[in-house]
This record gives sequence, structure tokens and C-alpha cells, in this order.
Amino acid sequence: METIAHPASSPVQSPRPSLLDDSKLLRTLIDHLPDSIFVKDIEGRFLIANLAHRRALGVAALQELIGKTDCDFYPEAQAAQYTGDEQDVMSTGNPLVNREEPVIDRAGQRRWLLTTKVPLKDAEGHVIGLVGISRDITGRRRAEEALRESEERFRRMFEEAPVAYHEIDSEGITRRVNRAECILLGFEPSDIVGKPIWEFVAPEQREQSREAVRKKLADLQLLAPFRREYVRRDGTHLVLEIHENLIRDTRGQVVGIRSTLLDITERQQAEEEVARQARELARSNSELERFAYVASHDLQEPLRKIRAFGDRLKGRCAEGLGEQGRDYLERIQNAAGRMQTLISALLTFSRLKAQAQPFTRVDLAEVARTVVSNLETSIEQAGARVEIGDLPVIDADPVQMTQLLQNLVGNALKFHRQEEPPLVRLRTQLAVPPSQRPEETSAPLCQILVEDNGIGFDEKYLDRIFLVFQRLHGRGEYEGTGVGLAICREIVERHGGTITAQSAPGRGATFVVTLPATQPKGHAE
Amino acid sequence: MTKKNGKPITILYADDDPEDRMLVKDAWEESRLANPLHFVEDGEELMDYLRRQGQYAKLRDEPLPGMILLDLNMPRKDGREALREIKADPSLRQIPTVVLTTSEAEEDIFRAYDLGVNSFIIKPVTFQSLVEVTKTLGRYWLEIVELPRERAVP
Repeated sequence: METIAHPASSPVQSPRPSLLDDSKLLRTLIDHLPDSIFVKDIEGRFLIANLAHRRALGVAALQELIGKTDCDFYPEAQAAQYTGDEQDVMSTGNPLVNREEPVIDRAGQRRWLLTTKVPLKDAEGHVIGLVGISRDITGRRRAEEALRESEERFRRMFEEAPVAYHEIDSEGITRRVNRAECILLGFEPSDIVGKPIWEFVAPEQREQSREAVRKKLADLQLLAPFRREYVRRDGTHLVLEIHENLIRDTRGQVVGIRSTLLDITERQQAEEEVARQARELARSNSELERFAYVASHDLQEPLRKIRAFGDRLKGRCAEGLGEQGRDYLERIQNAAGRMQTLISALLTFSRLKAQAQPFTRVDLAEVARTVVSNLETSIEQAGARVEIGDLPVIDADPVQMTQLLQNLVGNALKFHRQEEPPLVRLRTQLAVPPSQRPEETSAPLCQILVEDNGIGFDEKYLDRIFLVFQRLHGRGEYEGTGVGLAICREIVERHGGTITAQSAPGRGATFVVTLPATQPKGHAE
Repeated sequence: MTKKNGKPITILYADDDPEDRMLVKDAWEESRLANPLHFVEDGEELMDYLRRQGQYAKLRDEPLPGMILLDLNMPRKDGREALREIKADPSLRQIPTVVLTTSEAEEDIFRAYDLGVNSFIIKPVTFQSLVEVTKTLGRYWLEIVELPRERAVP
């Protein structure tokens, strides 16, 4: 049976029967459609099936299909489902339109079909069978499922993220807010959604927030992380670091902002605490400097009296004192004189910071020549020789550089060996060993070496010699206050450098000063 | 040591420290300076003396001192304030005023000269140098330079 019955049920009036054979034309048409198309009689037996449907059933020729039913091709349950549906369509005359049906294909794969089944009627309107059309919509269904899954995944990521998120629309109204943000702010989602986001900002920043949102939505302001104070439901404030992204529609128009909020209240408090401690430290340091200054200044006052009245005693009452009395007085006067020297040294030390000058270009060779000229008397007295080698030009405080080299050369002259005239050499060493590199500088470094052939010292005392009032020798052996090298260290550290020494008893000493050759611009402390 | 009218001029020394007053007095004697040295103990007493008021009202007809030696750190009114008042007062500002202090602060030195001080001397440490200083002061201010004529408070 090769005739097609027409659902329209009106006889086809073929204008050119000789040219077009209806059945051939229709078969050609339907065989080239991608959808499955079939016609069944009232008993559910196939009358027609196009190529697509025959392929779906695994049948090559139409002949093999004619007279068979779905029971011959599908598993029992599926066949029963189809037969039932088709009986309904045929008995009620109501078509089944665009139903999405799952099927297992011949390869065992699950597929989705969009099926329409309409009753086929004869000229009198009696149902004589049905026409079915099925489109394979597996691809679309999979895409939809993938989209749903993806949306669900992102929705859950948004919702369940441990970080607070919200989205506002083009009016600044909050459209979505996640659980973390609700917990952070202490509100229910319904308290937040539908309200302008700036209502949750601390009152003093609210206007600023509103204006910033307006500018960002107008695409007038670049997005950069910023800090904003929000208020919780319970009225407490919290500091948030906010990261934002613009939400754009398909035309690229900004339609909203998605924000991530990090609670940095504690971090900000910690930062403030660190800043407070730094201020406190600076204050206590400057107080200490001031204390050292005032103390050493005020200590001089009674000392001056001791010396002056000692002088009076010696000048006026020497006769009455007797020889022993005069000896005691002499000792008092000497002790007072030493104390005067110590206090002066301490005063110099405490003034280092207060009287610091800005850094300028300083020629250390020139400084060394000044130092030699300042120390001329002691150099002559000791029969010493001071050799000035190549020395660099660096950024430094010129007065302090003079003090530094003078203390080091003076030290070298003082601690000379009796049997040999002192020889002091100043020179530069270019390569700085990494272990002697100061931590906080990237500037090129230079090393200045002050070498002597004096008595030297045991390196186990290296840490002590740069501390205030630390001495390695009794006063009977060498005069000194124990402040000179401490001043050197203070000066070097103020310049961002380091000072150390190499020595052994009886083998001379080499003091190594490492200084940045350049200082950051405007850096004076 | 005496001015043209034959009467030795008075030197006024303001210092709150009794020992410093004692040392200056001793040094003054050692320097064989015949001029009377009068002591006041703080800035307020100094101004009372100069303006002949309070306990010094009875000196109204006496001539003003010919030179003022001034310590800077004093209670009640310190030397800096007293100096400002003296140099701002037309009847006092011509009196030579010499600061004698332990302060070496550059700011003090600058401000004192800025206010019009005539000399700034840091108190010497030994008595012998104090004698040197008083001798030099006496020779310079009382022998070498000409001072304006003494006048009583108008």
C-alpha cells in the first residue's frame, strides 16, 4: 500500500498529473526531512515511514516495516506507552502536540524526542489512523540541562561562598545577596534585597557611597578595591574591603555591579595598632633623646659647682688642708674632670639625631684630610702616619662623616703599640660581601676601611665595643669615655649602613664601615 | 671703673642660684673691681629693681645700674622674658645687658641676640676662668666703652 492519505482529507486536485505523481513527490519530500515521520492505521500498523524514521527503527526498506507495530521494534514498556498514546489520539480525535519524550535508541543511548501525533481521518471524518512526527531534541535538552546545572553550580557558589557577595542593579538597588553577607551584616536576605545598597553604609560615608555607585554605574569611574564602613543590624560598625565587577548586558551597557566584601575590621584595627605603636615608639624615642640631653645638661650644673668650689678650696684654703687634704682634693678634681668629659660625650651622643643635617654629596677623601688636620697634634705626639687612599663621594651628613672618621682615626691613634709608631690607613673596598650588606637598602654600597697596626682586640668583644660606655681597657691604661664607637655606630646606622671590625690582640684592627653610596631623595633620617 | 660724675656705677646680677651668686661675687672681688655688685634672684625681682617698684620703691631717686648680668633659667620670670621687657622699655633698653648662663642651646643664643642682648657668655667651668671672664667684662664695659649717662627712673 503506497498511497498517502491526506490529513486535510480533501482530495488533491493535481493540476498537472502527468508531471507530478503525488505519492512520489511526497515520498521524496518526507525522505529528505530530518524529522521522523510515519503513518499508522487504526491498529497501529505502519503504513508509511520516512527514511529518518526507518533509520531510527533500524529498517532499511519500507517493505520490511509495513504491517508491523511498535511492539516489533521497542522494548515492551515503551511500545505499550506509544500504543496507549496513539489509541488515545485515535479514540478521542485529540492530537498530541509537541510532547518531549525520553527514548533509548538502538545504540542504547538515552535520547529526547519532540513528538506530535495527529489523527488521520477519511472523507467522512472517521479516524482511520494517525500521522506521527518526531524531532530529535537530545542536543537541545542536553544544552538546557548543562545550562541548568551550570546555573545551579554558580548559584550555589554565590550562595554558599564563605565570602560576602551582593549584586545591585542599575539603580543601585540590591538584587541578590548571599548567605555569607547576610551573616556578616546580621540581616535576612529580604531585609537587604530591594533596598539601595548605601542604606547599609555607615551614615558618614553614605552620600559618598551613593555618589560612587552612581559614577560606576554610569561607567565614569574605574573600579578599584576600596574600603567602606558598613553598619550591622545590631548597630555595630565593620570595615569592609570591597572588590567590584560591572555587570553588562549583551550590548555592553552597564546594568549593575557585583561586589565581594571582605571584613577587614580586625586587619584595620591591627594596622591602626601598629601605626599607634610606631607613633608611641617614635615618641618614647624622642623623649629618651630629650631625656639624655636634659639629663646630661642638668648633670653638668652640679659638676660645675664641684669644680668651681674645688678651685676655690685649692686657691684659698690650700694651706689649711695639709698634704693629704690637697691630695684628696686633687682626686676630687680629677674625678669631676672625667665626669665632665663623660657627660660631654653623652651630650654629643644624644645630640646626634637632634642636630642631624640633611644628606648632601660628601667627598670622604676631603673629610679624611680635615680629620687629619684636626688630629694634627695627636698625630705628631704619637709619631704616627695616616695614609689616605682612594675614598668615594657619597650621600651623607658631612658633619657626621667628619665625626665618624675622626673617632675611628682617633681610636687607631690611641690604641697604638708602644714598640711601633702608629700607622693608620683609610681606603675603600669595592666588593661588599653579602653578609655585610645592610638589609634595608638596594643602593650601591661602598666600604670604608680604617686599618691600624695597634694593640687590636679579641673579636669576642666585637658586640660590646659599639655600645655606649663599654670599654675594654682600664682607665689607667687608656683614657676614654666609651662613647666614641657608639657614636660611630649611631652615625652609620642613621645613614642606613653597618659598622664592624676585624682584629686580634696585638695584630692591629680594621674597622669596616659599609654605607649606601646614594640615599633616597628627601631622605634625612 | 668710675664714670665721669665720679661715682662708681652699680652692676646688677640676676641669678636664682646662690652658689653662682657667691662664685661671681668672689670672682668680682678677685678681679679687684670696685663697682658695687647688686644681686636679684629672679626676673620679677629684677624688673622691680629696674622699675623701682615693690621692695625697691625707696630707691626711686637712685641712679639705675650701669650694666645687667642675666641668667636665663630662673623661676617666676626667666631671663628670656626679663630680657624682652628690658629691651622693649625705652627707659631701660640702653643699659648694657650680658647673658651669663649654662645654656649652650643655639636657639637661646640666637633669641637673646635677636632681643637685643649685648653679649652672651656661657658660665665657665673653673673658678679661674670665671675670674678671667669678670676681669674682661669689667675692663671692656667699665673702662673701654663709653656708656650713656646714668639717669634716675623718670
